[in-house]
Amino acid sequence: MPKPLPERFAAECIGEFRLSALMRREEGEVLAAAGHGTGAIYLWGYAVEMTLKAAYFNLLGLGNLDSIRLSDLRTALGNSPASTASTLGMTPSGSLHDLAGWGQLIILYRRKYGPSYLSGGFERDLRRLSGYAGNLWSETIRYHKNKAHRYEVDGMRRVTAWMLDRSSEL
Amino acid sequence: MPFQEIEPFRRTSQQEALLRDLIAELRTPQTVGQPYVVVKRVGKDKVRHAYVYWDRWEGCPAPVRADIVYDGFEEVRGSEYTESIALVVTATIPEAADLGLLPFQVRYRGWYHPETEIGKRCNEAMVTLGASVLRNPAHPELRFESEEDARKAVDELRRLVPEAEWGVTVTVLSPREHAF
Repeated sequence: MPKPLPERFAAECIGEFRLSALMRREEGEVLAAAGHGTGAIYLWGYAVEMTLKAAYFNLLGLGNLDSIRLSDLRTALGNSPASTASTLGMTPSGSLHDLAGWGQLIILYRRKYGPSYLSGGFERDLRRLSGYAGNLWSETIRYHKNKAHRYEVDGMRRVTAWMLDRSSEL
Repeated sequence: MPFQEIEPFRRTSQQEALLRDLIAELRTPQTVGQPYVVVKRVGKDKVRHAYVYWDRWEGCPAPVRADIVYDGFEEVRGSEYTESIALVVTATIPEAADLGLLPFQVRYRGWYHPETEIGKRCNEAMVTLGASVLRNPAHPELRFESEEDARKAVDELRRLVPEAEWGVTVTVLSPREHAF
């Protein structure tokens, strides 16, 4: 018997996050081209999420294949006095899908522990775009029948492209 | 408008005591008890993650906790070592357990009857080894990062209270919890 899909998953790690982000981006493009804008946004949100998570754990020094556990995600952005988000002065939302939160965590981590961005403009763009994506996207999109507006599809496409094209600089 | 001049941040005497006691622990690590300090080498060269589990963090603001740990390592291990620490996690035992960081818990058979004579002796022995009573003083939590550390504690507890049955339970976080 062939193994079912979840049993074929590799361990979750930076390398897996980055590759899956590329795949979700491409799949989103196919959906958008076919007129399924909400589905496209749904997948692009995950592409942004995986890119931001990969960037954060890369800052922490993890290698491409080092396993990232659920406890690592909670320790980063969990709603706990012990999370890194709290340590950096954030008030974490408690959602591990919080795109604006991951963007903010990266910015605050770099400000406190470095390396800082070469230009302040890059930090502003990251805050603005992760905030935009966080306002537009939610993992609960799948529960709803709403159709996304054209400008929302275009906006999310631009944010996703920006994040993935600069994933190594985040 | 009222005039206000803000003083530079200074640690409280309690926070200074935390730093002193952490430095003492880093200089001469105890075999049992808190703080429970774990330093992990991670993927990239010379990068470390430091976890300091300590119930005395209770009431200490999160940003202050991390600075205390960095200052402690700086004092005991020096700048180069401290600069290699990319992540500091400071948690009380219950906070760590809630994050899924200390999955291996040591328990005795009948732990839900702490009022019995043997229950009292087991709980006392667990507290000696560093169990937390923050969540519930009647049910000390003795937790570890690794099964190996938990097994060592079990060996010691069997020596202290040989008539009790000791074991290790594991808490596994379900990825589905994240994927709801």
